[in-house]
Amino acid sequence: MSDPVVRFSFSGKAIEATAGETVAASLLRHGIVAFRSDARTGTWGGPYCGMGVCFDCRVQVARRGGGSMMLRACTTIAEDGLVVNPVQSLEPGDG
Amino acid sequence: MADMHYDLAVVGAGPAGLAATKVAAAAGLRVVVLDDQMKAGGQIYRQPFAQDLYPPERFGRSHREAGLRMDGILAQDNVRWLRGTNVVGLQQGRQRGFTLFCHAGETVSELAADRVLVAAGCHDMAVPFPGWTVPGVMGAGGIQAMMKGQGVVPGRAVVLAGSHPLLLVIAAQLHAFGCTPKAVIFAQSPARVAAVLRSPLTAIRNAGVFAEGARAYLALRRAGVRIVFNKAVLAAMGTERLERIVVGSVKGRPEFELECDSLGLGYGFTASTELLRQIGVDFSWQRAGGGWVANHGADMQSNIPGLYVAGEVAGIGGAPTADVEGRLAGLAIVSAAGRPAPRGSVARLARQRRRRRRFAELLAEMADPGEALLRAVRSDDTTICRCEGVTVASLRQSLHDNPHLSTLNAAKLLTRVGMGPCQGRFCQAAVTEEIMSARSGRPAATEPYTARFPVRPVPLTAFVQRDGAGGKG
Repeated sequence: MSDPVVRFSFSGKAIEATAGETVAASLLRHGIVAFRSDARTGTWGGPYCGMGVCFDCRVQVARRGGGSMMLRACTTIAEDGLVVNPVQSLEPGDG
Repeated sequence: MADMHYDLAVVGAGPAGLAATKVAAAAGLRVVVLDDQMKAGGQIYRQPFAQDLYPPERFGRSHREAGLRMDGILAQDNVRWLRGTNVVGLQQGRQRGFTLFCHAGETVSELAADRVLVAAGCHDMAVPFPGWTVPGVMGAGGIQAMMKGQGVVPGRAVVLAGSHPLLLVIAAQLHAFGCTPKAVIFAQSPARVAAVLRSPLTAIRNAGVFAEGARAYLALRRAGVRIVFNKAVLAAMGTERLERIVVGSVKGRPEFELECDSLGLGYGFTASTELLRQIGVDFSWQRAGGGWVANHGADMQSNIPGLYVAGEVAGIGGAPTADVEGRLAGLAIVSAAGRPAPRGSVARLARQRRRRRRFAELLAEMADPGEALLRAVRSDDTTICRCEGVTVASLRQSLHDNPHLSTLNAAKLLTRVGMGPCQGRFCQAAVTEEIMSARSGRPAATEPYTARFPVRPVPLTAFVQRDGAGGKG
């Protein structure tokens, strides 16, 4: 592949991605489907609709020199240096 | 951006939105087109993020040509294309027109337009069953979107299940992509499919659609894909990743297990109506045709003057219906703007629209899983609202304890269904059915969830950084 490669991390693990693809696509290519955990139920969640509607693929994304935001992995373009972590759900009633 | 004023704002860059854009731009209107996605095409014509991601005609020549045609429509001088932009609010202007609140990147901004067309499309209908929240379980359209847009298949052992004929097409695409699915599981009997195929309406005008399905079926058979009828997926198992599924009769009796790490469900579609619900358009309930769908006149105008709808938000109809409705809406908008519209085409388009809608109804009838199946797979401990983790049992308990509870909004306040980040898009159909079923099927007593601004989650920082003056009224 001649495509430029970008590198970000998910749960501290290095992920190599193709420039232009989404964070969700990179993670799926690496065999990762569990994007977030739910402390209330002890279950995991991951992409469902694949088209930006369900918000089930949301991840915590920090940019270099920027704050951390909860974003949909399926609409967030992979960039060099992103620090991506699974979203951990809040306590009941905080949602 | 706040001072920009357009003749027309089109929400959704799929077949309906771009058909209207083409007509309106040709008549000289200034049009702005907005879509959450980075590429035009909608779901049906979803394009790859990079041209060399896969061979250009991997999904057929029409897929590639539609992409080029849409790029051409958006490249015109009087068309502004705002990709990666979520319209999170819509409000009638004080004097005229509408204000749209747009979230892109890290800001929320406003723009104004005399008229608005909402052609927001649809997504896979959510069918709650035990384990449908396990990572690896997706909408079949979601698997297709990942494949078409990103060139990735979200697993190695894929099973497709449901009741929509589109499953065959997706399965054949997966096979061509080098990821042959393990099985395709249909809830219908082959006899029911055959009955629809024998309809004179099907044979005469729409053979192409079924021919595509038949070709896919034969290709899958040749590839050794297991295709079963009269069965449904009753449960999905796994914690951090799907490991296996339980398959059984459509009455809910388990029969056998299949190992797989990806499951795509295709029971039909739900119209994406949140913006229309937020501004207060009138809806009708069509269980097999998109759930809550927007009412409209022959000119595709909703009950709110100047606000038009086309395509799936007016009832699931597929790309051909979306195209003709987009053109009809475009012509009506051109006339309403006081510009000369091409003569003679409205009556012909209206006839085409009626034919295509009739066919869409036939397809919806064939694809309908039926209320009995949906209830059979929805056990008490099934999560009905993925976002808030509400179970079927707790919703049914609330319906039992509160005999006057008859609306989705009331159920939301009592049980938190529909309150999470998806804002009810994925539990709406199932919760509507539960309420109707508990209240002896009185659809008039229910209405869709009210959607509130912003209709999709927006980080608070985006409001702080927004350009344009003043807060939302």
